[in-house]
Amino acid sequence: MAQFYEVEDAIFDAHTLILPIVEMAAQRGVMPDKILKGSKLFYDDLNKQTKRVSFAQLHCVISNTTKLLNADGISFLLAERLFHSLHGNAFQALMHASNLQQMFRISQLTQYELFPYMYAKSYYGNEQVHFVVNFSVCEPCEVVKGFFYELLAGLIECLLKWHFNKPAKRQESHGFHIKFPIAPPNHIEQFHSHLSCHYSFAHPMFIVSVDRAILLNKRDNALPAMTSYYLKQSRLSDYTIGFKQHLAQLITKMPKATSEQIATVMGISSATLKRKLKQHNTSFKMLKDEWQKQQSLIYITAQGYSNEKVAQALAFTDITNFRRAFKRWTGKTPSQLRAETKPFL
Amino acid sequence: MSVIQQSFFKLHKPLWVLLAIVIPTTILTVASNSTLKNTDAVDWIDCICEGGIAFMTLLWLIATLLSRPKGNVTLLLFFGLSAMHISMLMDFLDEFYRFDSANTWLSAFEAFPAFIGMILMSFAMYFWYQEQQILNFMLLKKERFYREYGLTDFISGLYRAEYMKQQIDKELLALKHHNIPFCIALIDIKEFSVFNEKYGVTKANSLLADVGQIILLNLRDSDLACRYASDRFIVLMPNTNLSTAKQVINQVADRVSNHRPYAQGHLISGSNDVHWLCEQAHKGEQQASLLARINAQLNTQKSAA
Repeated sequence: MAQFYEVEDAIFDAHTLILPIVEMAAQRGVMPDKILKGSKLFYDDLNKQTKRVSFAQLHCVISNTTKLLNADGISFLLAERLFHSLHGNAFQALMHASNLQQMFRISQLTQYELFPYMYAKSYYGNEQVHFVVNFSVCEPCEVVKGFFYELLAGLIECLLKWHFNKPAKRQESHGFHIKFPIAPPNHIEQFHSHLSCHYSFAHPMFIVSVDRAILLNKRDNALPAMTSYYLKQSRLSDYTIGFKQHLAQLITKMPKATSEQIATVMGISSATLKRKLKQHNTSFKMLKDEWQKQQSLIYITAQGYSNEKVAQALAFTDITNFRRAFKRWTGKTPSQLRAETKPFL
Repeated sequence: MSVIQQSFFKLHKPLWVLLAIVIPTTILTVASNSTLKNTDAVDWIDCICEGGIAFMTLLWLIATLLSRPKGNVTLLLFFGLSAMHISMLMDFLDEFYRFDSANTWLSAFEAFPAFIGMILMSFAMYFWYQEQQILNFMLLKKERFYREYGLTDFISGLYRAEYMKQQIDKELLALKHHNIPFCIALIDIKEFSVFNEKYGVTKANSLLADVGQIILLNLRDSDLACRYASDRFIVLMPNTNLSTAKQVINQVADRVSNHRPYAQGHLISGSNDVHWLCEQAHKGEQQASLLARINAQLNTQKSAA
């Protein structure tokens, strides 16, 4: 069984995200104590090489940032910084990958080193691959979610710019489409200026869709041998994931399991599981809903499943139940959604 | 911010010292020339009101010293407010003290500083008005019709995209109802992220401030420039056709790319060429779609280059 980390576990380096946020805020006239308020962190601690922070503290700092500097595009600037400051084995392996598909595999394997806050699952449609992205540790509040979506979109943009750096290849970056599960924000100008790939808003989940045609295109100066070298160097044995991701994996493996059964598998009491879920701002029902909702959307829009097939795959007792649940998640019936997405496929 | 406040504190040191002398002197003068009243003879409501007035004038005085640079207007404001404060303070103190019969001049004198203070303040206001006129002229291309300091971008000193969106909404209305055309331009610094990496964030931020100023200098009086986001600036040219707008922006782009910032005393060259794009607004267009349209166009132009 994989190890997992919880929302209060201090396991993230303070200098990857929090220190740059504090510095950027100071450049914009917001003092560190305001940005760190409520996180139980002090500015002097951050400069220590060994300082580790928890996701809860990160959540608090980001929430303060979105309140104080909402329109400044800190998330996108942070992404640029993060991309240029990554040097570890995982990043080297990523940089030497021969194509986008290999890149994705590597990013999954080295999730903990590269970006331990979120995780992606891939789904293959006829024309495109869809990467559905969720939060790994806990369910953040809306503004923090927005910040992370922007941060991840910014990182993808940096990676694409680097990957398609030759003018002849730039056209290929049009095969990317980032779908944000948020309404068009007031600070849309930050998206305009920082993202050159296609993006749109108000989707039911965070998806990055990529044309299958460009997924296997070889990068000219890739050195796949170096990739496997760096992957071996990278600490794969320490492979750890967040609490929420761990539970999502268990639900995927055992779609029919009750929360008591899941608790037994995890070796904890069902009361402890319930308490932990609450601490992570979620519940067993919410996690199961999220899985069924995302899975059914992918089955219907990308993979052309019939209602029967979806209901069966997602452990629904009958089709009527599935149709009702689907309407509750998306506000539409499965057939309405099929009719809407047909023109795009 | 504390750095700025500290420097203003140092800047007005003599005035602060003067203030620190005048207030105790006033209190001592009153105390030594009068006798303390009985507590039951004190009118407490009067005390709170007059004390409040004295306190507020002191607060204005401190705010003036913290926010204004040295100069005649500041001096006049300082002396005017100080004189008013002395009067208010004496007014407050005479609630507690009864002036001795030998010192009736004190109660007669009470209102005199306030009178002088108000005359000084009137002059201060007149000169302040003139000063503001000059500042308004300097801000001409930075703002239109109204001031909203909360929308200022801390790094470039220009207004943010939000301010521009409000102005574009106004122009779109004018276009819809009165057929007055207007143009929007985007100016984007080439390879800004490379510059950022090479010379550091502080240098990059000051480049943004420089570019903002150069754009302002080279616009016409009727134009408005704001920082859009990141290294992108946006210019609104009301009542302008596309060919004129392009001429204006071409000139601006030329000036920006000729700018050579210094890093540790050495010239940095070839770092601020710009991508630019000029577009006329369509009638009936929405602000959001107009902005999306021109940004997408600029991005295409950038990737084709």
